[in-house]
Amino acid sequence: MDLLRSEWIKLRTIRVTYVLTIIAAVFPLLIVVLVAALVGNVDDFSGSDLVTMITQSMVLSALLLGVVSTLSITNEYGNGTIRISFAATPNRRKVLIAKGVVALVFSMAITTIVMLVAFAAGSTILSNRDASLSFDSHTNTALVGLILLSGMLCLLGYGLGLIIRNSAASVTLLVLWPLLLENLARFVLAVAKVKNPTTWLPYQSAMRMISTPDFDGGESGGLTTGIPLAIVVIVIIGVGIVINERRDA
Amino acid sequence: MIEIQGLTKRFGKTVAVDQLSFQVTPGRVTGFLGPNGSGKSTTMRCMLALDRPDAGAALFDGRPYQTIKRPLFEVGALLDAGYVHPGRTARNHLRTIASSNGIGLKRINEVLELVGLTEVAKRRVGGFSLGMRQRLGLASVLLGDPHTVILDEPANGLDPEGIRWMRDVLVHLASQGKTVLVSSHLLSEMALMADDLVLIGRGRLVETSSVETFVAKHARQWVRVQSPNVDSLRQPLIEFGAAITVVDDTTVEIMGVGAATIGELAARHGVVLHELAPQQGSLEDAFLEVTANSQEYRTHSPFAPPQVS
Repeated sequence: MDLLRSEWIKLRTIRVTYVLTIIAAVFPLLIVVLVAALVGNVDDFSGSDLVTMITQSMVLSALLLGVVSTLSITNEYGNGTIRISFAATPNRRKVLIAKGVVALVFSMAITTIVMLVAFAAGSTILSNRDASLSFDSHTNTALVGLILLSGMLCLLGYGLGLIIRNSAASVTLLVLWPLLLENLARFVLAVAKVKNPTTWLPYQSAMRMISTPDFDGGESGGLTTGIPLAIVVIVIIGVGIVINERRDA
Repeated sequence: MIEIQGLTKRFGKTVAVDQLSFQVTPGRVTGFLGPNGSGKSTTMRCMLALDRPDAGAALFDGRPYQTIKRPLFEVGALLDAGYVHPGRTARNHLRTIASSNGIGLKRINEVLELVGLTEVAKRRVGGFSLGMRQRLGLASVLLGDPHTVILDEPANGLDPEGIRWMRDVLVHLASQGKTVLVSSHLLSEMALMADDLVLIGRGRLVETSSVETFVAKHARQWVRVQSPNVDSLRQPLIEFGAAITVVDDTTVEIMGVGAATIGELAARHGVVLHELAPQQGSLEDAFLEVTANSQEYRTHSPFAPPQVS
């Protein structure tokens, strides 16, 4: 508990955590409120549309919370405070796990709160405009998938930070992975005529967790589509911890 | 008690610490000296399990550092005052360290008071001078009131008042029976503060002894003599095997003969003495003498004339 408390204090006593978290919270809320208030014909707006709007706009939030967790470890290396942390707790694995747990809980909690607020705000506005919203198991799965995706991106960023130890490089890789690298890989796989290329791309596969049937061709893969990304994250974190236990601090 | 046993640390082909062994005893301030690049900081990092040694061990009361559950209560270490997040306040910086060992806010406020930083406890560390960061670093060392204290260059950036304060703190800690190991380049400070010395060069132990013994053994000793007819003493002194350096018309410095002998010679030859003062070189002189062959980067006098080939 002492270690978790220490890591929580570290996370919440630096400004960048607040700045990124506020952006991660405000951006999707703004999108949902504006669209719900300004959409032309509410009769065509379904519950599935609302959930899609929330999950897709919150992918950026999940990435930003991933950046927060990346910085939670790379800042320690950048400022040398990791030496103070390891001197205060010589069992490095405990320190690194505590830091990861705090970042994970923080990220998933913020995602859950923002998602629920966005959902409540969007539903309220649309209901007041006489929209008829209905939700089914697909929409529920997408919302749960969003929380899981947020957790996985958080741990992906943390794992990259553990291995690379440099803020700029780790954040760049975290952001480029979904935005550029997997799209390039998808293009290459498509050219090579590989069937269902998304299956081989962890992030794009995990994105299917937050898709609803009405969105983008109706590909909803369920929560199991997040497994490849979860495996990648576990491997990266494992490698990161082993490296940090062996390397000089 | 700190025991270093055959500690060896390599960085690639470079041997930073080479079979280093020494002991640091409680109740005394032990100065850890060595030229730049001699391996002092690496040794301290190895002691705290921050760097992984290739061989050997560092033991605190017989135990390796990594086996200590709550180290802040047993070993307080300040390796670099710059190890801070500039955006954190001084109090929050201490909270991140203290909470990991279950130390509460009350003790944090106590150590802030102790190092004189209470008034700036809510200020971001990024705006602190190096001296203030050193004080903050010392506050983190004192959090658990440990019985062993390790400090790497703690006087860096401190003003004269701060240096004196740091010296008093360390001497006080030693007087309480704590084990204090401190490295510093400020040899004049070390001479005032340290009881014992561990001197290393190129990663190896050069010498370990008390400061007094070290200076007596390695620093130059001479006698300063002032007399209106100092020339009358010259010949008798040379016959006694003395080496004489003329300072001015009335003053000479004499090596190789003790003050008592010079006094007797002066009396025998009817020479009036205005000054007869035994002199001893400083810790700095002794240090430079001993480490002459261990300097990683040697410098030359800026006043030396250019050599003509």
